[in-house]
Amino acid sequence: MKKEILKKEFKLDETKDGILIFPLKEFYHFMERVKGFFPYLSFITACHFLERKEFEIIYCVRDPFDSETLIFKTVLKEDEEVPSAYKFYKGAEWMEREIYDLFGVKFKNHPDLRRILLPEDWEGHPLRKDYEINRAPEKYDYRRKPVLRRRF
Amino acid sequence: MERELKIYEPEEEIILNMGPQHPSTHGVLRIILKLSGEKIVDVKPDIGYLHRGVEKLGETYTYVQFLPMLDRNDYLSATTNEFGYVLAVEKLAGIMVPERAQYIRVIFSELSRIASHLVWLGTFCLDLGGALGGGTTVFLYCFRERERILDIFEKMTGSRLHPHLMQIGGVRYDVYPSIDKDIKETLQTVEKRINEYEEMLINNPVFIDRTKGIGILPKEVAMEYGCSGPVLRGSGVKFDLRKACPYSSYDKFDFDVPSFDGGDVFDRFRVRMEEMRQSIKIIMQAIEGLPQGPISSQMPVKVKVAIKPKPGEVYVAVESPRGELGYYIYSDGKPFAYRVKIRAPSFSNLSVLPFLLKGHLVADVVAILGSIDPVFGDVDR
Repeated sequence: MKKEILKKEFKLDETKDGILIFPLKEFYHFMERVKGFFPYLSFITACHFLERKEFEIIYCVRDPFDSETLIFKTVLKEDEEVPSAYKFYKGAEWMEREIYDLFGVKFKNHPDLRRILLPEDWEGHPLRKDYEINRAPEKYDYRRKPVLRRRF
Repeated sequence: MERELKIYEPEEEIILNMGPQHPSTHGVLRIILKLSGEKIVDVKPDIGYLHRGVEKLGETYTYVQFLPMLDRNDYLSATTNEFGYVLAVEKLAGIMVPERAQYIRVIFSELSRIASHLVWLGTFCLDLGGALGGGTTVFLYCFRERERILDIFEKMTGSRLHPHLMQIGGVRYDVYPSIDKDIKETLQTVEKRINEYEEMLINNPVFIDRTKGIGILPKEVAMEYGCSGPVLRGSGVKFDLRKACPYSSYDKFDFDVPSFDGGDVFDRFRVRMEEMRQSIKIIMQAIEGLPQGPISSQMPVKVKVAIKPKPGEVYVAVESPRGELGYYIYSDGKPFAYRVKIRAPSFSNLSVLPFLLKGHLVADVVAILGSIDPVFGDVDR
């Protein structure tokens, strides 16, 4: 099992659901090894923890040829930055833009870190737990010049 | 048949906006193209016009309440959306599903796969346009066949597109007595007709010209971008979640996973045509061997509004018509999820679009985009 090899090599912890936790400082080394084993990137996502003031970034990769799946995550403080996985998986570009858009997590060395789903003039990051959801929507002012979405 | 294409190459580059209300973007996609003459130099897709915040809603609704919301995500194959979610919640809460319910789930998710691929075939041919018998011919044919499949959905659940067939622990409706006759008749007709359509298309030189060798996606790139489903299998990777990690009694059926090595638009077309035949094969086996028994392990819907799974994380993926549709659920022991991530197949498949379009002509944009088959409810969530 490739997961056991990685776990032994980096001396990682595992949650009870079989998710590996890797330290952020070993990011590049770890991702390089993962890329060698698992060429298919399934998804990258995040989860916000308000009390701990922390984010978890969750990665899921697969090997399509022997159908093994690996899910691993890392924990970071709210003001920390994560290195971008774009260097290893090209598909990370849009996934990390989505995380930046909805959580406000910044990625180091990302080629094009902009909002992807929400308009560029949107305030706040909706999937954070401190985002107000019962706020009345802002009244639309037709006199205000619209911000041109996503210039080239 | 080799033709030398001479393209006028001006010195200036122009920027062309395609969409968001363009008929061949199949929804609301804006593509900003940087052109040199007719050649595409750079591409920026712009998504998010259909963003509804489904993942945020999942944090405020209970597990049962959230289920109908998911039908609206990938509206062409609503059943597979529910399928992935109920599997994830069942795994999280440790709920067993009776075998009859598993079979009914398989039958209806395969039916919706055929319906979805028929829509794809019709709209794809409509995009390619004129030379295919006036363009609308295949489109109307496909919608005629799809309507017969949706009739089965309507007879079974009462609604055509958003059936709400599944519930956590089973399915909501049992099959009606004459369903095997209906399904067999419909599928025999569909199988006969998709063979006709395929013959009609692959013998059409204009169709071949517009699809062969266009939008070639190497398999290494496809895997890096996280492409799945027909896009990945059209590039020669035989990866199907129904075979790779069988869920819900898929391991009991005998079917093949079609894959072709070319990686172009034509191969993606062939994968989807073959997949429809394999789906028909699965449904026929499932309807023959439909076991007796209860259809749900849970109480009726109105009683079990609050399912409280133990704290934990789970990721379950199913093979939707577009690829790997996964649900990552983080539970903290409350009746609603702490975080729901929907791994949408169209999102990852669409992210490879800039790679595919570079170097092609403007006319190929619709062919390549059509071969990816994105659904924008799924991309934007």
